Amino acid sequence: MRGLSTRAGVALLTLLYLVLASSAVLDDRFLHDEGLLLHLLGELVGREPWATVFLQKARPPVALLYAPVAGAGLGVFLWLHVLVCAAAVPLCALAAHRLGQARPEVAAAVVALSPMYIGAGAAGLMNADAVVGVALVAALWAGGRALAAALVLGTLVWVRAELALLALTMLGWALWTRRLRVVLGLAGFALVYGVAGAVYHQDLGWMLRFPPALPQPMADNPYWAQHEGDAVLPTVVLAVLSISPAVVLAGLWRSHRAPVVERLGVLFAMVFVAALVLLPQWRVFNFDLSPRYLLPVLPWLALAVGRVVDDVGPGADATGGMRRALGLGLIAGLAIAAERWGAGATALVAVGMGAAMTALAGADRPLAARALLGALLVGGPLAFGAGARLARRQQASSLDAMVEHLREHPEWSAQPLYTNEPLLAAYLERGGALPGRDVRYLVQADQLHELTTLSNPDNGQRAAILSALRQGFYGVPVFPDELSPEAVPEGAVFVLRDDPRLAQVMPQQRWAPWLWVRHADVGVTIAQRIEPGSMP
Amino acid sequence: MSAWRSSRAWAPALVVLLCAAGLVIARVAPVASRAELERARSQPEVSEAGRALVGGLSVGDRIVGWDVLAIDGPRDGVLRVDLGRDGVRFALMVAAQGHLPHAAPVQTERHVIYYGHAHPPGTRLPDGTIRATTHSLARRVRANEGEIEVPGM
Repeated sequence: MRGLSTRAGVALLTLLYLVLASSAVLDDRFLHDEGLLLHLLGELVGREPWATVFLQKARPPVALLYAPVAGAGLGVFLWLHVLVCAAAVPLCALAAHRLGQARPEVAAAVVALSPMYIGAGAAGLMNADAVVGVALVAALWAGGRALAAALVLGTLVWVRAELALLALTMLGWALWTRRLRVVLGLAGFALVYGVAGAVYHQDLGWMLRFPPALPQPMADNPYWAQHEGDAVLPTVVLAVLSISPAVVLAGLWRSHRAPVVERLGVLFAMVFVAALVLLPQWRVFNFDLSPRYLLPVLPWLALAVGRVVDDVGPGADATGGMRRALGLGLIAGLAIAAERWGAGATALVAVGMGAAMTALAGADRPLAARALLGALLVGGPLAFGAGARLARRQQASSLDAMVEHLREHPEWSAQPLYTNEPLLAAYLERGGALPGRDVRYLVQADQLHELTTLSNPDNGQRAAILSALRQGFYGVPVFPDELSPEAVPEGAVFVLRDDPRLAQVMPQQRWAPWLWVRHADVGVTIAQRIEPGSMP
Repeated sequence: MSAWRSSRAWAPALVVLLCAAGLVIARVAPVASRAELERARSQPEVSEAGRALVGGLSVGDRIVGWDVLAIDGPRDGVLRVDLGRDGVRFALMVAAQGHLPHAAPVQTERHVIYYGHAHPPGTRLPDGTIRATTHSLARRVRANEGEIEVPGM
């Protein structure tokens, strides 16, 4: 990169990301079941290496990455995860520099101050690992190392399957420009992994027979019956703003000013967002409307914003006035519509700040423009994070009430706790400050269905995975076929969150006589296992 | 000021004005945010059939010494009765059997009765209070559930 000041700025932004994400790890603000899952996958590699590595559902590349530290506990894993995620900041700056942008620190700042990325890093989500991977791909590709970029991207598809869309974008480019080595690079991981897996599974078609995700959700899964698949404008707007409020500038991006790599990346980002907003309607590959799925667009968004900032000065070759009015006006129209639809006024504030920054830059007030852009980006983690829906209080709203009730009953400290809340065991050990509890996790029918469908019963893989899970799966796992009132010790405490799937493993008619409800709050029920007819 | 004569400056400034107008409209004619809609949704309102199921219970009535503060529902299949006394408040919830997966402290032939929402937070209600109020409400439900079908439950 160019100057010392740019390098120092990028280093400072990387440090800022580390501080912001680390502080969130400390207070469990983003404790998330998918983050616990990635930690578990790392542990599974230690428990059953071959069975885990050749289970596509286990996201082998990231499971292997975190396997060396997974055994040291959730805390160590989360710290390492934040450290890995911080790498995306300098990688995006490097990509911006290689793409000829004048101020690579702008792209770095968009990544470092992304509310969703800070949360995803602190939560341990593999969506954040995908961002690091995409940033590496961008840096390599922009630097002319297309083969290396293709090898990385080909591997990333086994981290987040939705990145197949980016791989297809690169494949199209490679075929168009007749770069056979890049095509082979994209297929590199699949070939090596596929052949090795064929030996393990003794089945050439194993990748299709045991895919990385269920092509269709389990039949009659009540979870899907209660989740709308249609995205509404406020949800989408708030989600995109939580990736970065600087997204409001994307309407000014001009393709003819960008090198082909940047063009393809931005094209991917647009198609990707459209696909993920539409896919949940058809329940394909279990996609729901979780905003975190959108995160892999962050590096390309950062590069697009960097380009826009380069182009909004007063010069003759800068973006013209009409283009500025149209690009920003369209986004402002969306923000007004979203506000009228109940999304609140944050989008309007972001567009207003973005437009003011553009106006100041056009009026040759670069310092004021930069200050406003800085304020918009710094405001991200402060005011735009809610749309990411990653906060513990958003996605496990009943957890604090559960812990509060457990604190009210010190006499239960020796009783096993049966729960369908995947965060309970980890939270009691960490922020909940009730360590040492015997937490038994009620594995839901659809979770077991997924594990069994995606693993091989013929070569011992399925049995090995289930055996490895017994050593820990959000606590001590209780599989549906093992759960019966008779098998639960008297006095055991059930800490249950409202979940339509619970009726599949605890039918009300079967369990009603055996449970004495002690607390029935909004979203949480706490009951004790009793003998039928002995309710006090 | 001459710099502002360039359309590169004043054109985006117009968008700033557009956003400001949007913010003024948001202030002058606010629409309910999703959170506010959720809150509005929680304003107590009970259907006629719901009230009939609990024996015509009304705000101001008493159940074993507790004042009925609100009756609401059915919402999501649950009829809720808020009770209060001496600055303490809690709720009894009536649902059709099988509507929720877990057991309830009291059940009738067709319905189950839960309790919760104690306020102030952390309030521990004596077991006697729970038993007396839930059983009292159950008696009302038993007396009416044979004849009254509550839509939405």
